[in-house]
Amino acid sequence: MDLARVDPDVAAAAFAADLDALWRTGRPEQRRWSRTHLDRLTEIVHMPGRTSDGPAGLYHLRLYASHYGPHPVKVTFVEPETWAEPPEGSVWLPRLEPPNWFGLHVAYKYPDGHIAQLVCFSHSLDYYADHNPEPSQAWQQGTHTVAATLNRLYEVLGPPYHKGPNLPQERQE
Amino acid sequence: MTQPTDVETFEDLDPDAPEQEKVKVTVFNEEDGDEYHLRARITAGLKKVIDRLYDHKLRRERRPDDRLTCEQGGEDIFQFEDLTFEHYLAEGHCPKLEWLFVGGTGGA
Repeated sequence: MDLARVDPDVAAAAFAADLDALWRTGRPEQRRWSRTHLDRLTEIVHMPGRTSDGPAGLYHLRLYASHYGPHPVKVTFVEPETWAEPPEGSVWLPRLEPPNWFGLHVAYKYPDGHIAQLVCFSHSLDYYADHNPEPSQAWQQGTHTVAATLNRLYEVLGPPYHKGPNLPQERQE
Repeated sequence: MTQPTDVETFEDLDPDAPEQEKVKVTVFNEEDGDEYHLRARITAGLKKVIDRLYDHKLRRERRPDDRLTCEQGGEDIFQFEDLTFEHYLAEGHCPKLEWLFVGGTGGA
């Protein structure tokens, strides 16, 4: 599905407003999330992983808001500092036994032939490149904000779905 | 997390009930980050709060893939909707009455 980009000024304003509104609730801080601002359309959210044994790993999620508002942000697990997509097996990717509404494909072949990471759920932009969700599951402007995207990722990066990083992160930092 | 303490910030579903007979329920809407604060008589059923949540906060019908869970521990709330708060709390469920609402999600 080819989704229309949003005027960058409009997308950036909505993205900033919704992120700020979410942060004002205090819940991201309570959940130990933090943010790094890259540019008006790009934000990194740092989100700790949890397993049934306790805290496990820290993940860096790049949010790109080129289509934001009518559509969700593009979400990518990235490496720290370079913000590049990690390769298969990287410590910056989680080991997951995900719920049936979520998938993480490190090297996904998109319909146009390019290969890249796909964080596969209906609150992530890239999902719509190759999927048509049920109406009750699709992104809906006015109902969903970037909070939905981050809250689902938080759920998946916790028990019972998250089994820890691929390797202890301190060994490859 | 700062919880509102002023009774005015909670929508009161049983305004005639004595204050000491009321419970406060907080619902976090995981779809947009909103929070809803509702008060009900402890002898009211959970369904009264759930119905109010849909009718006046979410403003839509309940869908099969909706989830309403206890923030602490993740226990499903819908399964207890026919219980009163009195019974629900006496059985040890979700003592803080902080619930998470999540709509359907597709993927995988």
